[in-house]
Amino acid sequence: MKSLKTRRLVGDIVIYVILSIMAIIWLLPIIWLVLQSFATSIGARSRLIPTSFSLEAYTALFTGNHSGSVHTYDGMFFIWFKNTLIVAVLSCIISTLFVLGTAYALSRFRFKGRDLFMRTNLVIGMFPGFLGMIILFWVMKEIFHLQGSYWALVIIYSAGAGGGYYISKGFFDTISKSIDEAAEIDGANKAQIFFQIILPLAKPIVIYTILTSFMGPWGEYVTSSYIIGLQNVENWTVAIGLYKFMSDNDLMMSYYTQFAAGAVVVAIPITVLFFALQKYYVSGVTGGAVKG
Amino acid sequence: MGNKEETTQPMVEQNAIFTKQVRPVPKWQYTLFELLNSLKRLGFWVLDLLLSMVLSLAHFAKSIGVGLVKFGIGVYEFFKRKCHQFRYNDKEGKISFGVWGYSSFRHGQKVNGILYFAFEILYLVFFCIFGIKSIAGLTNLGTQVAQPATTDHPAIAGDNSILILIFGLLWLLSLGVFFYIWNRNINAGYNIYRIINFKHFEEVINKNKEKAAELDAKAVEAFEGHLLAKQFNGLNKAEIEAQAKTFENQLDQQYTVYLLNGVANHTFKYLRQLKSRKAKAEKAQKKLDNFVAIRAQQDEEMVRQTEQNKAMAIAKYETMVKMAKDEVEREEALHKQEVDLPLELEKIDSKLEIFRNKTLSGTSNLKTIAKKKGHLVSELQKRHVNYVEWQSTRNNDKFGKFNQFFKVVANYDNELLFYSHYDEFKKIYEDSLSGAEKANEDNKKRAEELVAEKDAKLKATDEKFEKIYARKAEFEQKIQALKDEYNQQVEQIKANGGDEQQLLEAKTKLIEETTRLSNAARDLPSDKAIKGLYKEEIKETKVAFKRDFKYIKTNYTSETYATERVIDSMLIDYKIDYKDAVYFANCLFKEQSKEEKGQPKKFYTEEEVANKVKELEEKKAQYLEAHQDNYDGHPKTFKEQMTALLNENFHITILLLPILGIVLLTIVPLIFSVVVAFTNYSKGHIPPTQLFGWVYFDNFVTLFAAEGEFAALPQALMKTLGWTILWAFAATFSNYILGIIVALLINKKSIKLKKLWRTVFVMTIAIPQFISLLSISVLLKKNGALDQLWFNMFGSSLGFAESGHVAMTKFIIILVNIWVGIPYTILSTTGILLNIPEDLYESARVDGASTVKQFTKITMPYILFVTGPYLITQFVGNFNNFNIIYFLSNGGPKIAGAVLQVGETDILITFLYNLITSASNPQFGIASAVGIFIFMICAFVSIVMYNKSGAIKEEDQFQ
Repeated sequence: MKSLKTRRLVGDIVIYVILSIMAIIWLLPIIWLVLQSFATSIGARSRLIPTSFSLEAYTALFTGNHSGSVHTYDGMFFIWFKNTLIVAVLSCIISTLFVLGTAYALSRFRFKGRDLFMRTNLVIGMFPGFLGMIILFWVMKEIFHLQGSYWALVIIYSAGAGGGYYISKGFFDTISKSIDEAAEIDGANKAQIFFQIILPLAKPIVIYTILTSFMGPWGEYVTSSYIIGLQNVENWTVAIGLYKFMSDNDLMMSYYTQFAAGAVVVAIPITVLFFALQKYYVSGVTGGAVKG
Repeated sequence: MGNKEETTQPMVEQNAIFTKQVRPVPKWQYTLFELLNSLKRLGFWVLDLLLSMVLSLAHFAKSIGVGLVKFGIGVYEFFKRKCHQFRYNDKEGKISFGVWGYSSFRHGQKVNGILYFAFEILYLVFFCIFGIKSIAGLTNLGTQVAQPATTDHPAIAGDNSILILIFGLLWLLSLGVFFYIWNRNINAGYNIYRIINFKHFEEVINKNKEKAAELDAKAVEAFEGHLLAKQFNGLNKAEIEAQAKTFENQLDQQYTVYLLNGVANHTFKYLRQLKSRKAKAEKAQKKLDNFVAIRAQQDEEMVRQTEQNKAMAIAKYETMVKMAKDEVEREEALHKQEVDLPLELEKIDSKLEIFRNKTLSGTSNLKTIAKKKGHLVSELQKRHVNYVEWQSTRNNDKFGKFNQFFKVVANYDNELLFYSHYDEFKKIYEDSLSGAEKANEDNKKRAEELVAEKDAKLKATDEKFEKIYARKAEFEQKIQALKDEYNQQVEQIKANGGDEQQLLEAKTKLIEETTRLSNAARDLPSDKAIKGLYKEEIKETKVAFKRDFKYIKTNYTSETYATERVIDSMLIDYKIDYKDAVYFANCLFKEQSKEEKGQPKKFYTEEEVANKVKELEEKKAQYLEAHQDNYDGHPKTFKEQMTALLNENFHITILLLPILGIVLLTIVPLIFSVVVAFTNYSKGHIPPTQLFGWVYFDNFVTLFAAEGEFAALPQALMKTLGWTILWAFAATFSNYILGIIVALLINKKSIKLKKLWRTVFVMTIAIPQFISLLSISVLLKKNGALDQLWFNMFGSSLGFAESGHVAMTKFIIILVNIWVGIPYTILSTTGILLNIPEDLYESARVDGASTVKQFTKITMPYILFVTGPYLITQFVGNFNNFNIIYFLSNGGPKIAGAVLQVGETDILITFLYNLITSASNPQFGIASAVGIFIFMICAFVSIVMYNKSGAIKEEDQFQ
């Protein structure tokens, strides 16, 4: 009896050790990044822990005054941050409305073309997403006259959002239809049912949708870099800027600590948001996975 | 012949079941056996996969064929429908085939009409001015090449091929929109015609009903003399009468029309069936002429035949029982009655029972009649179902806008029905107030009976299995006894100084006996199997008991009892909906009788009831008046259309923008990109200074068998494809398995701080991927901190994404992907892990399964089953996992001398990205071809895997 107890204890200790080691591994790059953002020396890249600390990188990031060679990217970070915020907030609002609306319509209405839409959406998902970018670039340039503008990104991000309705639809399907019927008999129309009854009931999935549709544009690089283009520096988003900092050795020399500082600044809002709403995110992911 | 199969089959099954038992063999042999078995299973799995690939392809080809045929049929049906809509339409409707919106305009929908017409005119004008030219431009994508500036004239920009392509295709696609709106306009006109003539349809329906009844009568006549036809006729009449009564008494005229319309729909359908049946009936008539003539004789004959059949069946049954018994006896003799095989016998018995029932009822020999009867009954059932579900989807399509209205009306009707019979309900209620005690007692008695029954059953099971165990033990004892006897014999022989001959004889005898016995022993069910069966039987009994016991209520108060009686009456006598009945009874009786304690008021007085009825009738009338326009022959006005957009047409409002967005900015660009794959759009052909044109399938040829400039491309593509597949497999399965293990560790009961551990892992999801990946890339690349650390430890550079370190780079990428991906797996599997039924583990623990075994035999299969589809999406997602590769290594190290800068760790999607975004040598045409290639692979994998997992699921259901 005793030996069984000790064996279990040893097992638990082993698990704790494994988990602790893994936790360290998982946190290490993040901690390292934060440390680097406070480092002073340019050659800090080769050391795990910087030798001296200061706020130099942060001031340089926002004011553009730093000790390295001068580049066009100096002091642009604040503009990029503002651009990204505009793009992310706007496309978050629009995509959330699109996603929830599509999900509700597909969950509660049976109309002609519903199956066709769902099937087409499935097939589209198998094409590499940015294959259409070549054309979108020209469409944005010639039809919308938005070449190199971040407004093009808002349009692109939110226009296709309706296709990601799967998880929300799964959630709406679980809400009983008798609630709708009861409201209907009380004289509510479908719009009122959606906004005043279903949405409050589906709070977790609403928050999940808001969170994901904000996080997507916030850290998106591929589409934004192609659509905005490398010459329109003042229209860049943070993703393009930070990637550019690290793209060649020369830039890396002068912008290295600024990259780390910028990364921390970019990560902070999203991390705060994420942890505040973690409960909903987890329920969204789990719910979606179980439903396939 | 059949009999023999019936009796021998269980024996075959028995062998199949029992030969799987584990025999006492040496451990190494067992391990080897297991290993071979696993290999065999793996082989079968691979074969199965290959087979399902082939099958999927065949299925795909088939569905394309079927799709084409269906499309053809659809087009034919479309034109047929248009012809029908033209023929049965008013003048305005006919005109609006050409002049759009004319019908809407003339019938009050002025805005719609004007919009339709304006669209038609504007589209046609613009199409003539721009569209035709643009579409014509598609043939060569522009001819006018830019001219460089000379001294005489400034430079001229040439045609912009990409714009010609975009606008040409857009105009081409807009033709589809044009025809779609044309079709809508016609449908609108036809619907208006139908709404206006709604009342007229009543006559048509009645006419059709008469026709149907006539035909019905004829058909019945044709079947006259036939027993089943008579039965059918009776049911039919009863149903129609019931309907008519309902219509007359309870519903107003419009409601009736609506209902009749529904009925007429079924009647139309039924009419067609009747027609075909009539043809059959005429055939039958000829036979029946004969039949009628000798009917009496035949009836007699039939009775005699049935009797004979019965006798035959009984005889058959008896012989079968005898045969079965013989068989069993033979078997028993063979095994010397070592073990009770109650289950096998039961199986035989149940099969015999089924057969006996069939033969005894004489149905098996009156096959044709049975068939006919089944057909008729199912036909009736169909009609009935259709009638009950007159609010079903089919009617929803046709009468969508009427539905809400009739639902409300039906609600009022129910309530009216309730109040008009209020006195009766009250009487029932008061009468039954005293009956609760008796009901409780009755139910108690019944519950006791149930408990006793259950106990008896459990006891019987116990006894039965004890017997089995005893027999088994006895049998084992026998073997032991034999061995003991042998030992004794040997000792005896030895003591007697017996010779070897005697020893040999004894040994041979023992071997014979033990072989026979151990052969029999092998066929014994194992302890585990018996235990399982025992558990199952007990469970069955318990479940059945629970099910029955649940519905026995012994705690009726007089109020609840009376309320239930009232509900019963409402349901049975007045056919009020269950939901409404419960609502009425609970709210209006129970609540009132509760009030009794505080206040003197009990039930509504007659006056109050009358008032209520009056009030309701007024309300109903008001509602009917307010919603008259729903069906009284006026199409919706513009204002009503707008309100409908917030109500029954809300999906149009809510889907318009998302679908427009998806179509215009996702689907159309994708179509264009697919089209670009057939052009030579690339560095040397960038508009507007250089034109590009159609090259048809050249890009695909270049991809797989290039010569000249891109000669190295096919090889590079295959290399990339190989790594992509390897990567997708490695990434998916490493994440999946490790993620599950970590989730299990976190979820272990004795582990504390669960939330902390989970938060640590979730942290990596919170940080944007490009940041975490870029910083890890910085750490790993030359002079990065980790690279430096490695250098200090081993004296050489880590060489991440540098030439000569391909394997290392690939390995690190997979490791980093584990870092990125495990948190997602943890999140998505935690819920599933918590949902695994605990008793599975319990029984495993009882059977002494180790933790590892529990994982491989319970946890893994369960999770695999639930997350099968998730795994597939993960695989496709990793196949196209752009971020990891691009931010970590950016495809590096580059393949030396490779064309188009393909790297060793590039996967297809980054390869495609590089083709598009390369500043020096963009190859849009080839990139699009690669995109189509990727799509085909992903689609193929998905189809195969979905088919396979579907097959797995079906198999489980089957078992």
